[in-house]
Amino acid sequence: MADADEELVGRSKNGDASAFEALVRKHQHMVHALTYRMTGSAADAEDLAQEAFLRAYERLDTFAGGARFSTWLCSIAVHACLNWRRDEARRSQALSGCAAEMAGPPAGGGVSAGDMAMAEAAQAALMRLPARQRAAVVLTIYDGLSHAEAARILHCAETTVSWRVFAAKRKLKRWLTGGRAAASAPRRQKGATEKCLLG
Amino acid sequence: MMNDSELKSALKSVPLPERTNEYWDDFPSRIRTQLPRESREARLESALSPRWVWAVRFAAAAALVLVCVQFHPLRTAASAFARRERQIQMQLARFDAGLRVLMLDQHGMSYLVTEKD
Repeated sequence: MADADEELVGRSKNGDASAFEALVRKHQHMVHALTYRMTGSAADAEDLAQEAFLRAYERLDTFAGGARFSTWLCSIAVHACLNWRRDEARRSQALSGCAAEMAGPPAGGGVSAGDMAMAEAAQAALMRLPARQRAAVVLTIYDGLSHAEAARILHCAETTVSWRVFAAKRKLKRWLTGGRAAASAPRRQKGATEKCLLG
Repeated sequence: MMNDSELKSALKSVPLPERTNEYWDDFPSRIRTQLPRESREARLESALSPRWVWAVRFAAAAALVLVCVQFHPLRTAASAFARRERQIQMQLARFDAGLRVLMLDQHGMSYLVTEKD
């Protein structure tokens, strides 16, 4: 799998656009999931996924091959999200947006209203975290990376990642247990629903 | 307060927005069309250029070595010496039988020929 990536990266470096397209096809779900977890908005996740792939293409020469391509790409996507300029209104819209997105039929089907409420509260709580703590949670909990791997991606010490994960978990537990996340989540807005449909 | 595994399952229960198959089919080609053309061309050129650069460098180095060898003072002296040697050989050929002494001094080349009996 990694060898296939390396071959595609090599061909992309030589200007083979179809090879890069194949890399995008292979990793697009992972990048979209990551950008969505980081932004809470399907539309912004799409924009950031595009940005991440285009940046990756520009920086292909810097990919030495020592790490896995997916980890390298993940790093670019996370930093694109961290640099994502968002004002309060956009953030609020993202929160409403994710609530609206979750109101649609889930992929698995058969999800109870209680589970849906918990999922909604969890996403809202995740969005309340500071961006760097959210990134640490996304990388370690959703993507299953070790703290050392996450530290390499976030360009910080492993202990910093451990601390961010610890602090984030403490807040999330408090918010989810107390129901504060659900209570503080803004009401769904018409505009947010429209934004999701765009995604 | 919930424990770690409860938190993890709560976080993982958050569904991702559903996208159509057409979206996943189109997304890579959309990215491909946005790839900067000049960057692609530059990449292609940069992939080729090392060969050209090395070829030009090699040719330049070879030419330099050739010039150095051709016009080196030692080679010039050697060439003059070889020319003089050829002249001597020609003289020797002309006076094959009777030539006894061949001498080169400030007055030029002189030789002594013995008469045949």
